[in-house]
Amino acid sequence: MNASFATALPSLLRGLATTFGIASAAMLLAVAAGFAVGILRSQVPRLLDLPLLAAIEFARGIPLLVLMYFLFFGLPQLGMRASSNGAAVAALAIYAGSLGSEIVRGAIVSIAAGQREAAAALGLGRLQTLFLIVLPQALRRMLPPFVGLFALIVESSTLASLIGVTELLQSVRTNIERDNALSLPLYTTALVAYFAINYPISLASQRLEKSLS
Amino acid sequence: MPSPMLTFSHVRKSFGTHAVLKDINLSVAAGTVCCIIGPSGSGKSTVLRCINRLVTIDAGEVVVDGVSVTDPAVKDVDLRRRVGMVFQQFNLFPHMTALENVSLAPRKVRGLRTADANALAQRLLAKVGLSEKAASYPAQLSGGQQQRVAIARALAMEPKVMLFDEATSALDPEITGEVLAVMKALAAEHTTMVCVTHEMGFAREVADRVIFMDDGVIVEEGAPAELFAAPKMERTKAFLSKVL
Amino acid sequence: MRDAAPQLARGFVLTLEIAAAGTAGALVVGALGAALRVSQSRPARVAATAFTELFRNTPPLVQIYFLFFALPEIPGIGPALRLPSVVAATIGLILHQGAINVEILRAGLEAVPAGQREAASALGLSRFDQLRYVLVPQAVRISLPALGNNVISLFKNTVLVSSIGVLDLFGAANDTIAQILVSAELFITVGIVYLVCVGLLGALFRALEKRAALAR
Repeated sequence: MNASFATALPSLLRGLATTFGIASAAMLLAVAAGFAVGILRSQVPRLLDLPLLAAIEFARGIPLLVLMYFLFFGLPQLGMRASSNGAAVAALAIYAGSLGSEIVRGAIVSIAAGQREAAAALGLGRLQTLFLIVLPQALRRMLPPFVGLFALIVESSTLASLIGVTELLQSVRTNIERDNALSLPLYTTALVAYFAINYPISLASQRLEKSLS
Repeated sequence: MPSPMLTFSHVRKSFGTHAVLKDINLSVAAGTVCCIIGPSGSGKSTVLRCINRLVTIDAGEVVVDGVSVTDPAVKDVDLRRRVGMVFQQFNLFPHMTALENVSLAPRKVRGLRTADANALAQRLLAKVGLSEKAASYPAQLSGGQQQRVAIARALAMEPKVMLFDEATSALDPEITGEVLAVMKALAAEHTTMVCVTHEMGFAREVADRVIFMDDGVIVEEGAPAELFAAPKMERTKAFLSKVL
Repeated sequence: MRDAAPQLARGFVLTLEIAAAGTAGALVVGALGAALRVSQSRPARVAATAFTELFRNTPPLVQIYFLFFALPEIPGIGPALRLPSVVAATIGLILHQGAINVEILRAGLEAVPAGQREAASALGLSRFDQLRYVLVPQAVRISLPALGNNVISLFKNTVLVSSIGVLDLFGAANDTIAQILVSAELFITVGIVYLVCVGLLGALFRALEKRAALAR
């Protein structure tokens, strides 16, 4: 049994690498999209905000798996192609990006109106105030929730296994298909592995939150 | 001479390395009002909290209504049925109406039936002048009204001693009057009261004794007329010259 | 697509049932867990923390697979733990979202102003009565937005049950595609159903929050 576990190890490690790969790619895209949309939403008037709000509510309201399936299975029907990794990263990025934009917008809005008043009284323009005064302060407040967001992305990456991406969970399942005796040890290993990744991240996020308040 | 309602003997209390009470000795006779004054950080609020075990003392003895606070056989609830407390921040329960705030402890601690507890609550709310507000939530009441409900809530336990921890400090100056009026009425009924206060006018008018505390010790105490007119200690003079 | 409707409808009903059972179960787990987290007894606190951190920080899909595939393989008691797929999936959701609820309620309890506990203590209320009448009601009101988000998360996570063959709305949709191949339309329709449900849940919770705020 130990021998089978040892032979499974290389594929599990490759799976883990893929998990990190798609999680990191999705995180980068989500942060970029989050900043773009979040800053935009904090500045534009109500009317222009509505389509952005609708997009965010869509991305947050639809189950991630449905989005992944649509991008992977459904898009080719409409003429576009998608690789499984690509569809997974895209879906994760859309979902996490919507959460990210709320983090960014929330942090910006939480910077007291007094700061903006003071900047305006000094003669600073709107964009100057945003980039020189508000954003630097908001960035610190965004850190804990963004750290938590990465943990959420890692957790959600397991869904990619259902569209055939060979990340950690899929590697676990493939090995179990070959040798069912590995079922208990490998699923336990999977739980431990994901816990070992997400628990420290969750702790880090909490510590950051405490030290910033 | 009947024994005092409340005594402190050589009470010490530290929070970590900071000595908040350094050697407190005092006694309060039944039916009298004792006002504690002094700068912030002098330990005044801690003195009150030692009486109902919200704070446990490190050394010394506190006896209230013949019951020793330091005696482990005495349960928290035995103490708290004898001692009522009114807080600076009112601390009314926001999710309950005024009536429910006042009737909760009589029902759960004294074991009264709901009907009896509600009747008691109505009487006490009338006593503090708020019978029409029985069904109101704290958010719908002004600060002065909330504090009066808090007084009614403490009175509902029919305590032997009432403790007031800067009861008017969080109120706008125009509103302190309505709360002080209730406190004066209680004093006139010979309720034993210990009040930590900044209201020197109240202390002068109502207190039987005034205690001046500074930096964890009782610097001076006496009848209000003497203490305010002719303080003996330098620190007392300095404090009074700033506040009067 | 018309032909798919009955199967999809059955799937939708199953989704609602799993979501309802899951939400109720997760609330119970959350309340019990939070109570143990703040208990006077150290073993209780440690056990509750271990449970919460384990089930909160591992993916619900892995938990579901573990319950369905790995539990029966435990030497000795394994065969007795062979769960029907719906049960395994629902328990998985209850454990994961329940653990999240524990954390939400614990934070909610901490957010109740310290003066409330002081006042309740000063009135002589027992620790249990303090929690029951003063602290927990306020903690729940404070936690309502986060609890609502978690309910919505659970609703969206019901799609995971399809991974072990349960024919909820999503599972039924996939089954239909295997038979009729109309995927893009189908996913869009299914997606809209989920969006509408999530929207309704969101509106429900916002109304609850307003009502809770009035009472304060």
